[in-house]
Parts: sequence; C-alpha cells; structure tokens
Amino acid sequence: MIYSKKIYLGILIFIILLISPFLASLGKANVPPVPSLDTPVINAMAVKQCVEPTEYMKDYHMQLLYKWRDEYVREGNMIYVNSRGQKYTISLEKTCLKCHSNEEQFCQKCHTYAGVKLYCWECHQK
Amino acid sequence: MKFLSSLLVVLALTFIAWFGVGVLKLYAVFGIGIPYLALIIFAIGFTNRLLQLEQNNPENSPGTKKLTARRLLELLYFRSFFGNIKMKRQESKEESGPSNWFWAGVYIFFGALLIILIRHLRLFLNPVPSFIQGLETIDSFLTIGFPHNVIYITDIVFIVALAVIVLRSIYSSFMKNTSASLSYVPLFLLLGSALSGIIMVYYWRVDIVSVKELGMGLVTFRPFIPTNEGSILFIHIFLVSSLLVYLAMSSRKPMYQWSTSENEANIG
Ligand code: HEC
Ligand code: HEC
Ligand code: HEC
Repeated sequence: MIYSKKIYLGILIFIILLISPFLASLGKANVPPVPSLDTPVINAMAVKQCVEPTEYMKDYHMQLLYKWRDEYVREGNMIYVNSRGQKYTISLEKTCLKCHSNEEQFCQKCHTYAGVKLYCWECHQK
Repeated sequence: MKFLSSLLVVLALTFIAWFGVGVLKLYAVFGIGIPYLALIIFAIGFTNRLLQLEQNNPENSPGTKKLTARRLLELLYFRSFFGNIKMKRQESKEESGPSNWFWAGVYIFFGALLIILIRHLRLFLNPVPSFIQGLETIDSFLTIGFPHNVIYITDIVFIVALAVIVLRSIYSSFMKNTSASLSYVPLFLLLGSALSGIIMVYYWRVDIVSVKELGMGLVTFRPFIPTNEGSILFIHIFLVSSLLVYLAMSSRKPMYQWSTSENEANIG
C-alpha cells in the first residue's frame, strides 16, 4: 500500500502533539512547591493548626474562602465556627493573612505551580 | 432499553477503578501503569486509523486527496460518538437548516472539548504557559455571582451538548429500533469522564498540587503516587484511559463484535 505524503505529515503532527508535554519536560525534575510556614504568628503557635485540618485546607480552602465571603457579605455573619468548635473571625486579610503573612512564600508558591492567578488582591490587601 | 448494556459496561469500569484503588490500594497501577499503557495503545491505534482512513477512501487516489477538518472529524470520531445522530442528519439532507444547526453543535462540542483538554495541560507543564492560565481565567469568569466555586463555561457547554447527544441518540434508537446494544459505550465513557472530572472540581475536591505531581511524574518519568486522594481521581483517569483505548481500537472491525452492527446503524 502506498500512502501519500500528507498522511505521513498528519501522523507526524499527531505524534508530536501527543508527546509534546514529554518533550517540554525533558530533563526536568519533579519538584512540588513547599509553602513556607515560617511566619511570626505561626512560629509562636504551640499547636500548629490551621482553621480546619490540613488535608481539608489543601483541597477545600478556596471553597471555604468563598463561603466566608458569602457569609460575611450576604448574611452579615462575622464568626466562623470550625469543625473543632473553635471560633475565627471571618476575614481574608485579618485571619488567613495574619497567620500566613508571607503571601508570596505561601499562597503564591502553590498557585504559581497550579497555574492559578488570584484576582482577590485587586481589592483586598495582602 | 438497549443503552442499558452500554451503561452497565461503563458502570463496571467505574467500579473496577473504585475497587482497585479504594479497596485494593493499587495506586501505581491506576495512577501510572494504566495511563502509560492507554497512551501507547492510543498512539499506535490512532496512527493505524489514519492509515486506514486513506486505505478506505476509494474516491481519492494517493496524492490527490483533500481532507477538510470536517471530513476528518466525521471519519475519525463520528463512528465512535455520534453513530445514531449521523443517520438523522442524512435524512434531512435536503433542507439546509437542520444540517447547519447540527454542524454548529458539533463544532461547539469539539471546541469545548478542545479547550477542556488544553486546560488540563496545566497539570503536565511546569511552569504553566501564560496562554493556558489566560484561557483558564477567561473560561472561569462566571465565578462572580456563583456560590463557593469556580465555574468553567466550557464544562457547562460540554455537559449540556453531551446530554443532548445522549438523549437524542437514545430517543432516535427508540423510534427506529436500530442501534446495536453496545454502541453507546464511547458516549457513556465520555459522559463518565466528564462527570467524574466535574465532580472533582465542584464537589469532592482533590489536592491539585498532588494531582499535578502525579501528572509531572508521568511526563518527566519520575513517578509520584498520591495516596491520600479520593478514588474519584483514579476513576476519572481510568475512564479517560478506557476512552483512549476505545478510540484506538474501534476501527479494527474483527476485534469487536458490535462494530459491524454499529456501522449498519450508520448506513441506516
Ligand atoms: C471587586 C473587589 C473584590 C474582589 C476582587 C474580591 N473581594 Fe472579597 N470583598 C470585597 C468587599 C468590598 C468585601 C466586604 C468588605 C467589608 O465589608 O469589610 C469583601 C469581603 C470578603 C470576605 C469577608 C470579609 C473580609 O474582610 O475578608 C472574604 C472572605 C472575601 N471577600 C474573600 C475574597 C476572595 C477569596 C476573593 C478572591 C477570590 C475576593 N474576596 C475578591 C471586595 C472584593
Ligand atoms: C491560626 C493561624 C492560621 C490561620 C488563621 C490560618 N491558617 Fe492556614 N495554616 C496554619 C498552619 C499552622 C498550617 C500548617 C498546618 C500543618 O502543617 O499541618 C496551615 C496550613 C494551611 C494550608 C495547607 C498548606 C500546606 O502545607 O499544604 C493552607 C492551604 C492554608 N493553611 C490556608 C489558609 C487559609 C485560606 C486561611 C484563611 C481561611 C488560613 N489558612 C488561616 C495556620 C493558620
Ligand atoms: C498547598 C498549596 C496551596 C496553598 C498553600 C494555598 N493555595 Fe489556594 N489554591 C491552591 C490550588 C492548587 C488552587 C487551584 C485549585 C483548582 O484549580 O481547582 C487554589 C485556588 C485558590 C483559590 C481559588 C482561585 C480560583 O481562581 O479558583 C483561592 C481564592 C485561593 N486558592 C486562596 C488562597 C489563599 C488566600 C492562600 C494563602 C492564605 C492559599 N490559597 C494558599 C493551592 C494552594
């Protein structure tokens, strides 16, 4: 069977597209980001705990923040009670960023890796 | 009720992935082995398919063929995804209206799929190219006003289009009583992949950092196995892998007994 040149070109393009992520990563290491917990407030904590368990925060912190925003803006609710029964003031700037005052070394480390760009800082203060 | 057997096949695959990871803890098999295998099968099968495309084309002698995007779409994917709808289109060939609507629908469907695939590249490229991040930002601008999550427009468009396709083909198979029992497998695989992905974004969230470490592990050949993610991630990977394998295999007629009858349905 004789194939035309076009079909070979098509196959070549297909294969290159398919392996392009492999080509782009040639020789690269697989290093995940390490968000830094080195802030004055966290260093001073006896038990280093976040608002919710760490596993939950990793997966759901964006949902928690959106929930906080709605509770605050729509319901006027200013206190969040977590799963351990502890109370936190609902505030991105005064709660999250009080402990995580190193936004660049913390939030951004993960977000850059995951290709997420927050628009929150257009209005909120880091 | 012929689509039920296809649904059962896909539900069984879902169960296998859940059982393999959730109960047997075979993370490496479902996270690394199966994706690699599926990709290799897809590469070989799809190449084969492109070669067959030329072989089966009597009107075109080698060198003089013209393959438009439309024809390529039709040949490569229609048999797999829209077997039943294609038959419908042929009936209404005289009127141009429905046919144009149909093509608009097809382009929207594949366009949304393409954007979703490109968005996934953020899990396999480090650093993430700015056009992918830009695409993500544009795609998710609806966030404002919706509660508690990002909303991707392409997710909504894609799932609606897919639902229409599935319902229409089930409906038309009721009317005509033609379609073969397992011809819905690719549609349900696609639906299962999309639903498991959407569930992960909106409901049972996973740690994207670990997921990306898994993805980067695959493309750098430095495997990383996330063991604390929900089975939903592995169900998603398994359904997508199955779909790749299906797309690679479905042109090889002798291997699948339902392939012939599927084509009969196409001819109408
Ligand atoms: C268009 C400007 C704007 C943007 C962008 C924005 N916010 Fe807000 N946000 C506000 C305003 C205004 C309030 C109400 C503040 C007040 O009444 O003190 C608020 C309140 C909040 C609150 C509760 C109160 C507080 O002080 O924190 C949270 C939590 C919050 N926003 C989270 C977010 C997050 C997360 C993002 C990014 C995804 C975001 N916001 C983006 C304007 C904005
Ligand atoms: C009382 C201080 C405190 C507050 C307030 C706080 N955090 Fe934390 N956060 C921590 C500590 C300490 C850890 C590390 C926990 C660990 O290592 O197990 C952490 C961990 C995290 C992690 C996981 C990081 C990782 O290593 O994977 C995320 C994400 C996070 N925080 C986000 C937030 C967000 C968003 C808010 C606001 C809703 C917030 N935190 C509020 C102290 C705090
Ligand atoms: C452990 C890594 C990690 C840390 C630390 C972290 N984030 Fe995130 N965050 C992510 C990932 C990954 C996503 C994207 C999830 C996705 O795309 O589904 C995300 C998404 C978000 C989103 C939603 C953005 C969008 O467009 O959907 C907000 C808001 C957010 N993070 C806020 C914060 C804030 C504020 C901090 C610091 C206090 C923080 N995050 C720290 C990993 C992290």
